[in-house]
Amino acid sequence: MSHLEIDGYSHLASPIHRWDPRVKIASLLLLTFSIVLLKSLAVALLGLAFSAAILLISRLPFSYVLQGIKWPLLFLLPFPLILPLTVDGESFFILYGLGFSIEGLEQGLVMMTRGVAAVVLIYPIFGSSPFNTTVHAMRSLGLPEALTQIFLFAYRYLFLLREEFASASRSLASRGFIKGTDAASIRVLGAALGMLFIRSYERSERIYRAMVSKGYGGDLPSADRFRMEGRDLLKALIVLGLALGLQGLDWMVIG
Amino acid sequence: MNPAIEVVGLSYRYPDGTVALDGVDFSIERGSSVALLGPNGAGKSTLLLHLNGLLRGEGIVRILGREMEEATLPWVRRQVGLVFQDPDDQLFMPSLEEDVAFGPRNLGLSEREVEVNVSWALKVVGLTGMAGRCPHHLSFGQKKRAALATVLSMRPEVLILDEPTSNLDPRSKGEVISLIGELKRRGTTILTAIHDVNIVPAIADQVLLLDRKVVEFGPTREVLVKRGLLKGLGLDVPAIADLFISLKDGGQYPGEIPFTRDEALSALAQIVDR
Ligand SMILES: Nc1ncnc2c1ncn2[C@@H]1O[C@H](COP(=O)(O)OP(=O)(O)O)[C@@H](O)[C@H]1O
Ligand SMILES: [Mg+2]
Repeated sequence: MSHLEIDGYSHLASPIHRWDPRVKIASLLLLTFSIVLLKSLAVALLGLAFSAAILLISRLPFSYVLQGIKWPLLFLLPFPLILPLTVDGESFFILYGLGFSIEGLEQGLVMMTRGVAAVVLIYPIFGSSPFNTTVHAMRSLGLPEALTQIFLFAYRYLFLLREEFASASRSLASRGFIKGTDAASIRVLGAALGMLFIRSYERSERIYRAMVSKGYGGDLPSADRFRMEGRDLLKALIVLGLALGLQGLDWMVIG
Repeated sequence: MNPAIEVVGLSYRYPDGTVALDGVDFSIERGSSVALLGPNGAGKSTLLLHLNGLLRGEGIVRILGREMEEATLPWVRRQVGLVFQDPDDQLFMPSLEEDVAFGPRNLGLSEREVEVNVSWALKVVGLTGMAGRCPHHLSFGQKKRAALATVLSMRPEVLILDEPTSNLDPRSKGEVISLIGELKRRGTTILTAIHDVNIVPAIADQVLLLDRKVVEFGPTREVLVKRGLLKGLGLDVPAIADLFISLKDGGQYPGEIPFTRDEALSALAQIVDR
């Protein structure tokens, strides 16, 4: 399938996969926050190393993760190029009257490093359990019921919507429609999108009926009973130690 | 008399003004299997939605003797299982197993009972090995059966099917037909809205002809030979019966109108013998 399936490798066996999802999500998210708050470049690089190590331990294929994070990466890479131009400070080099500041370069590198480290962690957090298990775990961590259901249904019906969209485009193409930017072609696209919208509205009504007819009264029943063991807590303590350690180092370096 | 479904003077108008049902009356005995026939737009789906309270029109609906009202709705939904036409609307959970367990869990059954019902329902529809699959990745025929399983797992007394064979290939149609037969043998009351008249003799003892109101209600073999009535509604007579009605009208065949292949073969033998 495609990048939509963040849980495509949730069946692998690794210490991350075996971790109780609730504890895993909570402690790795904490580590993510700790990394995102770092100010020193050296400590941020250490944080990136931790993220990479956790990704390695999770055994998620590197090419698969790269495929998923390439857009966020493209967004993060320009920081070290842009910030030197906009941050005031000692210029280390002047080009066509534009000063490149060292502080700017360092800040840009810190932002990029923190960002990459956080993005890399997304996969061990959300890609090492089946999506629905993750969502149920998040519910038991306090995610509101309504949001839980929105996530679950969005995930289930994204595929269907994509198929309906593909079939609409095929039907347009088979009748000789070529996408353009002129008013006529925008009108056609608008009509097709409108049709898709109405179809999904009507579908949501039918799904709701199907749920009500099966006794739905607002809460999704779930059989996911999580079991926490000593090992889960030990892993959580290690990650917690890393998160606190990074903050401590950062504090010592920056002061 | 002990009807499973009783409908008295039921009328329904959609918010846009379309009158979909206009004074519908009928009653279905427990344990019988009834086919609901009618042209497109006759109000079949609308009627079915009334039978477990998803739509509320004017008139009375009684299920197993109890009148449908706000207070009895949860009870009614436990008795009446409704399988819609589009399986994608009914398979909304991330795995087939969770979908089939959805109803029983809402009923508050214990996890043990849920497990028993789920594996039974999956076995009945022949999807035992697929429990962990994402419903989206099943074939269309499997989805149709999966949707049925999500309702069977609630063990309803009354089963209502909206076009269970539409868009299925012949083999999948055959599977659905024998499934309906199997459930009927277990004593379930079954009402099936269906397009394909050729299937009706195989699944139903009685036929309810609907065109916003009840046009005809009687034993399958009596209703399905009324060619003028069916044609008037834009419906066909089953192909085999149609042929023998013509032979009978032409005086070449005196006997009972056959509906199945075997009946037709012995009817043909009679004609040849004459
Ligand atoms: N949601 C709706 N809003 C307005 N009219 C509807 C709606 N659903 C169905 N109808 C109309 O009600 C009539 C009966 O529809 P339906 O019960 O779906 O018929 P059938 O299932 O026999 O084809 C049709 O004229 C149809 O166009
Ligand atoms: Mg219909």
